[in-house]
Amino acid sequence: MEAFIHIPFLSILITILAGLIIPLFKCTRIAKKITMVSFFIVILFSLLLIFYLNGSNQGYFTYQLGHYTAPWANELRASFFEAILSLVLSFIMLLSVAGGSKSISLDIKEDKEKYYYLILNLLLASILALIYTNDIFTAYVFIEINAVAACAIVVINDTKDSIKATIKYFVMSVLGSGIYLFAISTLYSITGHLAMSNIHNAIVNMPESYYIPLATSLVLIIVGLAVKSALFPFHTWLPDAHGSATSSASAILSSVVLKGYIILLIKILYRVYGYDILIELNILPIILILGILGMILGSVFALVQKDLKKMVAYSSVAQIGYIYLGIGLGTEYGVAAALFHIIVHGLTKSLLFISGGNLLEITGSKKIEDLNGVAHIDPISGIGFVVGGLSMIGVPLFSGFISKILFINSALDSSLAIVVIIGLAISTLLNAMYYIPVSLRLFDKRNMNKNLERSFKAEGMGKYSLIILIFTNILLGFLSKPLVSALIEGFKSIG
Amino acid sequence: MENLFINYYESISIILFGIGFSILLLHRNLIRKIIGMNIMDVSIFLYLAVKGYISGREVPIVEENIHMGLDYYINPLPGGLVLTGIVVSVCMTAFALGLVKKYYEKYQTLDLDDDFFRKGS
Repeated sequence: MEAFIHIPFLSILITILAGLIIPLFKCTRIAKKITMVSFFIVILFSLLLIFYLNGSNQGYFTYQLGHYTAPWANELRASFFEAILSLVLSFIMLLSVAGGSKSISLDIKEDKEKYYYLILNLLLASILALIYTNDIFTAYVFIEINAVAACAIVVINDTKDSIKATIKYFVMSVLGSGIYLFAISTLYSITGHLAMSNIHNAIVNMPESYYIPLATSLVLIIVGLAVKSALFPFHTWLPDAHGSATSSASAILSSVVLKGYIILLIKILYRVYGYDILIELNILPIILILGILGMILGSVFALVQKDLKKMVAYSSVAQIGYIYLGIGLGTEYGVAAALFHIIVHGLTKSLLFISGGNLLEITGSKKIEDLNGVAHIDPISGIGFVVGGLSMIGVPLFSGFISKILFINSALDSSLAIVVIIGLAISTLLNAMYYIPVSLRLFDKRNMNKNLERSFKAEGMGKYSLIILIFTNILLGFLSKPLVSALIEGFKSIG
Repeated sequence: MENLFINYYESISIILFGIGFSILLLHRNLIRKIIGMNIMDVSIFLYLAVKGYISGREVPIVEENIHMGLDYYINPLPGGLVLTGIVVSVCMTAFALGLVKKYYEKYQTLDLDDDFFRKGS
């Protein structure tokens, strides 16, 4: 059983190695196979890790890198929290690559396609490192790797739009990581540590005269990571970047890359600073209010979009608002709801982007108004988009409904309960206002567009991955109870 | 206000950070944006290096098992962080220059023509 503690390190190592060996092969097909296999191994490893943690009675374990012990060493740390999230995020990566593989070969030039797979491996490695690491400076290095990789999968499309979007994305990313680096320098200078648990011990015993630099570093970390994860006032780069990438890249950017930063933020808030300091510095209500604003305004922006992918991307801004709302509530149940919504949004948004991308390939344009009746050509993608839309609205039977229930339940004890509930209601209404008309338009046979670009259809792997995504979306609704209790248990062992 | 002058290294690094930050965010010209990015990174390295320095102490290099005791050396860790940061910053600059080259090929200009960035210049 001792071998299981190597899993976090090995899953990071395998994805990096897979990325490194891809350029050795000339053929794109082999690159794709290597990618699939490495993602699959990570999924398997995460399952084994969950199994191991379930068997062992300790809540978490730390894994030491190098020969030195705790305060000087760089260490990884794993509990249910990390294991479940790495399982879900690698699962989404695998399905997004499988589902979008047909449009990858249409969107990206053939000689560049294998580099796309290379970058995906590095991207997953950096996400896993962000999930498992217990050291804020390692987190910074992997944030930068993540930023380069995420920009690269947008720019690889090589169109005018995608390059401009990437430059915007890159500028905002660099700003975010610059602010984060400044914040951790401040934190290091007042605590003298870089390992998260040691910083926490130093903060707990800190005299009050240090509270101003402490608050500064906290605000800077929140701003830096909020820029990167597109919390409402910092979301300006998101729609262009996610709208102009190829559909599997958009799915991965929306459901995996944004989540890596949010997970890191949750870890920093509750492991490094701790709940008492957060209450003392009174920072949680601000996150909550920004989350609610993002929820409403993201949906309002989505409502006026004419471009399908941009609409779905603005919907991501709204959904990120939900997650920050859960973090801002600050209770165990609230953060568990946020973590559950990370999973729900990941599965739903990848479904929406991939099925939407498939439908857009049929018309050859990006406009919503050209989409009349396309679902009759590619029914699986049509159904996928409708299921995704209904889940985002929060219709019962779908997973989005459960996460909304969880948010409302956890908000009831809060002093801002009424604001949260009104925000959720408005946001749900707005979600319905833009997803339902598009869904109806997809099945509208009468005004069907006659001059379609090509008869594109989800086949083989693409079809199966869409079916799997649809079923997990519905299944998640039924499996929510054990999952939420596991997440709560994972969150308890975070501190 | 007095503290700003006593800790003048930190004050200067924060001013530099602000300069780099605003160039990176607000300037239209992409090359200047990259220069701004570098100023921003270097300001943080200055900040870290200052935090590691203790006046009157020596470089932390231990020669042939002659250890002069912990009070003899400055803190080596920020130096390590600065080195890592420099590597990361070089990589980001290289990537940014590649992006700018691509942008120039497509648009025949180095100015970012965008509503969001136009306001600042």
